[in-house]
Amino acid sequence: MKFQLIQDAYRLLQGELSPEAGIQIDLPYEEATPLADLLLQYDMTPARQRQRLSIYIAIKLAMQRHSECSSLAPGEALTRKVLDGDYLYSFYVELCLKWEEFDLLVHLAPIIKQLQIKRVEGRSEDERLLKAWELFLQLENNRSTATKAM
Amino acid sequence: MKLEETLNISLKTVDREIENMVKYDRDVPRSSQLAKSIVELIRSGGKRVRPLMVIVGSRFGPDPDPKKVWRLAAAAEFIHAASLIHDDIIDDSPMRRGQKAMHIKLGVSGALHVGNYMSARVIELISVYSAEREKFVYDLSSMATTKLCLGEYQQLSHLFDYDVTIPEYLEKSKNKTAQLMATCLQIGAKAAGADTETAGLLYNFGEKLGMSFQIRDDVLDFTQSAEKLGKPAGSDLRSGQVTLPVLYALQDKGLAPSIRAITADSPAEEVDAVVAAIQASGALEQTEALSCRYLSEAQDIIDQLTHYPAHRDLQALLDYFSGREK
Repeated sequence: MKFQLIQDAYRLLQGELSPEAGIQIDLPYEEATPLADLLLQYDMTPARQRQRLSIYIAIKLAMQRHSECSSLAPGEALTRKVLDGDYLYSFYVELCLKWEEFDLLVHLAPIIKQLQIKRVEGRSEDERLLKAWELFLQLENNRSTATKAM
Repeated sequence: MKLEETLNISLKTVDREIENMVKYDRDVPRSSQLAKSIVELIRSGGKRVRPLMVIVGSRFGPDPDPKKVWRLAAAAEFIHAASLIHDDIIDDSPMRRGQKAMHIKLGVSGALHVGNYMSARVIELISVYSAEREKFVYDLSSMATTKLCLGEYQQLSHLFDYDVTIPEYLEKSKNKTAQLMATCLQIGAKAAGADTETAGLLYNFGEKLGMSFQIRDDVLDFTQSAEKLGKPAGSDLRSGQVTLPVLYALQDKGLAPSIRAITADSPAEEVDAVVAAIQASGALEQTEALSCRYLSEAQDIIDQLTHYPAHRDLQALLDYFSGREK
């Protein structure tokens, strides 16, 4: 089930990306696994699980592309990595808007900004992204449980 | 008279608002390298055309919310500046506005993430008013830079491609340059409650100015002195960018083979000769004429908006763009 979700999310994201960008989603499955595990614990439709995991993969891929830039000399490889990261950081916002994940976007925006601040300082605290998702899902679940109880 | 004076907008206030984007970020200590780097970049100058366009756009609405308009104006400059930082990394440009480029000061990784911070800060600030759902969605989509990236991808995939068509070139220019300018006017207008038709006209006006701007930029690459450009004339061609002057010159059957022979490995003397041939071919005049046509279409839009006093501000913008150094 988890493997299927991850595969579906990769396929969904690949279909959403502009072919002109030519981005191949080469993020190892293990990177998507922790969020897949989390998403499967909560009550939501399979479509929503796929969409949310796609958003997460887009952000992880953006982070991966930009972290690979420092070892590259100027040239096409560096240019592509910079552009891929830029495109994906912007694309996750578009996906959130398209799939009406407004609360998620509001929750993630400051976290993604904070990750950039840490990276400028030469420190990587990328694990905070998963924690932010965990908190978001908990809060959403609490809200939904409270609404049902009323 | 300077553009900001004609528009009666204080550039100092614009700059202060841009600096406040980072100064009032509680996650960024004022003494941090990040804050210092951004403030230094802002203070190094810039014409602030995009923030000015946001403010001009807001003058077409009945209900301008000054706080929001100024914030959007600053956001537009943040997005632009972030793209310049990343452009400098891609182009390996050592200088920006007379100072060392960000990646020279902080290294590639540091500069990349300063640019990312600036874009992420804009998303965070706009997300604050998520309760106004429609505006929130519109503003966020407007500030998304996927189109700008697509313009860059299109440019990259057509390096030394002499079969690129003029419509493809125009599409790339629209994505890379014109779309953000168009958005600036429209986002300002919508923030002030302008009607959809007016906001749409302003978008079209901005797009035409942006197209004219980019095309003129491509001409300047051939006409300005090496001293002024800070690089040899025809640098775009040397780096594989097939711009509009080259596309027009390719229509000259006598000239086309020597242009098509230019590759990344061509010696400088060979490129110099082709650049000189393009300069003498009439292609620059054809390119300039298209730039003027966009300005003339922009003028037609002003004529449709004369019932707004702010149409004079559009005229000032148009005069500014048409007066750029040839």
